[in-house]
Amino acid sequence: MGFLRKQRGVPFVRRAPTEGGDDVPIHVAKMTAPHVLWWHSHVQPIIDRDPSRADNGWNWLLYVPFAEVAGRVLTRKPAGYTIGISDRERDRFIPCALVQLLGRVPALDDHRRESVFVWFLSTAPEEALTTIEDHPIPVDQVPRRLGSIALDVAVTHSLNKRRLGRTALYADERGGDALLAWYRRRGMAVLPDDDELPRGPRRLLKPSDGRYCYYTVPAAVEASKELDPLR
Amino acid sequence: MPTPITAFADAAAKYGNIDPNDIEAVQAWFAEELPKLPVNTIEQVLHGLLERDGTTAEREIVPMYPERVPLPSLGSSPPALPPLLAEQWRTLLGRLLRRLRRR
Repeated sequence: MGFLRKQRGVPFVRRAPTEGGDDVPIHVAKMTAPHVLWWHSHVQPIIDRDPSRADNGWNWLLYVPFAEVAGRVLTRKPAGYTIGISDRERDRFIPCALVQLLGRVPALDDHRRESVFVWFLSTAPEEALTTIEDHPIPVDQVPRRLGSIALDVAVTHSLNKRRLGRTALYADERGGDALLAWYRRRGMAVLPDDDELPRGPRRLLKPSDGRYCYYTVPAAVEASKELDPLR
Repeated sequence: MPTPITAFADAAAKYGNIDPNDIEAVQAWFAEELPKLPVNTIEQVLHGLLERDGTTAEREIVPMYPERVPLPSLGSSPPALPPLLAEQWRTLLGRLLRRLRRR
């Protein structure tokens, strides 16, 4: 099954569980400027009120253009995704999570192989989705497991772009041990702090400190299978 | 990437002569001017930001949130399409098997 997954690719998640018990349809879109602008207008102010969040103080209006330009210049194949809910009747799309990644970086566990690197990942707090002017989502229909789904979008990108699921990221220090433990529970390994990063600016400027996490190929396939009921 | 916003503002000031306290000007510089710079300058910006990754902001920049931004339309949210085989492998396999059986 893992072989087929790596050869034919994987569809993105299409549903998310809710507190009400029913799944809600979700839509994975290419990230565009209106998504980021709306996020910075409505979601980020709510995130910024919670100092415990790793994405507190983030500014996607800076990160997205920067990641796109730097990624292209370094031939890292940048890509951005927005996970959201589509309202076809009113022609509206409600962004619920954002993922900005680099599609081609050396893998942390095997520097000769290529991997995806998740540069930024953020999920909307419940309050942000239940307080949208003219478009509030009822509490029992707010999509759950958004963090897992957003991470799965990166793994799916990796599987679909012949990176075999290899996916890495840096767990923000502000997330502390809890964030690291969350990534471990998703099946990611943590690069020991004395291991060397692949060649590139990070090896010198942001060396391994025990917070780089990565999926090996088998772990990525297992993590991907876990979300199959939602595809 | 836990790089403080001040690092982005300082990069815009250094390479674009932008007021580092004007976050909207900094945002506009990253969106509009940075892509026009030579490759080695963009690399210098990247390295400068990575150097300050994980450091604490030495001053505060008041965030500016745009007001009353409408929800994106579906037209501005193109679906991310997986490879054809990922979505329709059963259908395509069925067609292939039917064709083989006819021969």
